[in-house]
Amino acid sequence: MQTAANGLSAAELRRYARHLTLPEFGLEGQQKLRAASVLLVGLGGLGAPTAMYLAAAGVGRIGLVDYDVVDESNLQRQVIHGQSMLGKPKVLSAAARIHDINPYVEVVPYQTALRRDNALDIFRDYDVIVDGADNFATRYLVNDACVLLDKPNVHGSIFRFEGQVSVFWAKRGPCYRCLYPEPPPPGMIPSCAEAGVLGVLPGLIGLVQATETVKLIAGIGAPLIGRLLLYDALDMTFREVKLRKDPHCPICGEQPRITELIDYDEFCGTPGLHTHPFDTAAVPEITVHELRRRLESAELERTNTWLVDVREPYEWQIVHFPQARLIPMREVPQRLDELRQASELLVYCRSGARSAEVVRYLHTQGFKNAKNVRGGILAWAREIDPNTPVY
Amino acid sequence: MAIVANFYATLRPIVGSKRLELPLEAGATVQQVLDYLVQRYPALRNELLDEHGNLYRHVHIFVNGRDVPYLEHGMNTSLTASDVVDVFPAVAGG
Repeated sequence: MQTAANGLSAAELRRYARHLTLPEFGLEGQQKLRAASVLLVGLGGLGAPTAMYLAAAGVGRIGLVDYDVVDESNLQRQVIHGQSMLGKPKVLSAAARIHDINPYVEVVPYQTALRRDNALDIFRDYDVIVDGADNFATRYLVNDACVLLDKPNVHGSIFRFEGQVSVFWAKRGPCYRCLYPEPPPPGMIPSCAEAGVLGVLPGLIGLVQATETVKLIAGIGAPLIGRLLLYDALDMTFREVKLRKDPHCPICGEQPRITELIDYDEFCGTPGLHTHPFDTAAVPEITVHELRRRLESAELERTNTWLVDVREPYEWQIVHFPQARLIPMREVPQRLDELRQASELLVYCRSGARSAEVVRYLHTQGFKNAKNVRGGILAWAREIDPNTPVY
Repeated sequence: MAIVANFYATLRPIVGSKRLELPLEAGATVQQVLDYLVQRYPALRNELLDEHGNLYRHVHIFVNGRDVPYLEHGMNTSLTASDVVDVFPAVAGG
């Protein structure tokens, strides 16, 4: 028997029975969820559990923004994706999983990087924005678009064993820029790829985001507005600190200076997503073939050339050149005196991106002898030695 | 009881632990805590302070859950035993 009672079908009433039984939630809460739309920015560690629970809960329309494809290294924490989806776009992998969890949810995939020229158009169609991005530039972009369109920004961010969660909503409290007016200098705060992350961590932080999203939509409880939760998985502690709206905030303050989206890559000093990650032509470089020639001729020692690995120690443990010395990227500024002993510096990392940043930095510090190993270990594995472990 | 400071994310490995009891007298100010920390742990300087010696704007010091710039006396706020200081940077992982 079909029923249109209260706008939910008999099958939906069965599906959401445990919600309907909650006195504080009930039919009204379920109807609000079904009428609501939520945009998830990023389908990584945070977006994966958030998407699954919001779908199961019965959010009517879920938008998914991610340009990336599913990689093996994602599966340790990005539980919405599975082995069978390796190499497939994350938004399509997630859409398939959501359809299986709850066929009543409409999914809108955006297989693109979020940029200043598409953010407002995408955000406009959603009630709540959930920020599960993995870089500072996107986080400022998400914040500014939310402030300009008056949308709540359910924020989560993670580092190794710790997370930060809050709801930024300029109309009702502080925004992200009230808390962090400026990003850190480029490279100072490593990403999850560089620093590592405990797989279960984003599950917890993502589900705090999902919880806040459901509460905002249903209008129940006390939202995490004006409060920041600092979660520590190792100590298993939640610390709550109070956030204030900054009257001088450049976008939501009394006299806003930012009235439209800006260039976030420039603001954060990071290479843009429109730049190919291997487009390192701006810095002097050598190819892996040239590196092999110089390694085989034992020329490095003769010419006092240092091969410098700027990855993290855990990456060094996986694979490194025996001739190399490890100076992780973030230690470089403190170890310039050491580097000055070399006549020439050949800098490498996993893909050639971090090492290009380091070479660019070294040139600003007067190291005209620094060169990037183009493509890094991945290029070495691809073009020189296929037995090289890649990760 | 001593003044306790908690360190997060990239600051934690520099200090070597999440939680420190600071060997400072009650009445020490937040500025004195900061001065002590960068002297005792020189690598903290680059993580906390810009080239002008000002706290980076992606780093926060909270006292008992309150952001220092919003305290009446800001960095000159005196701390008492049992006060808890949290020092954390922005992180962006997702």
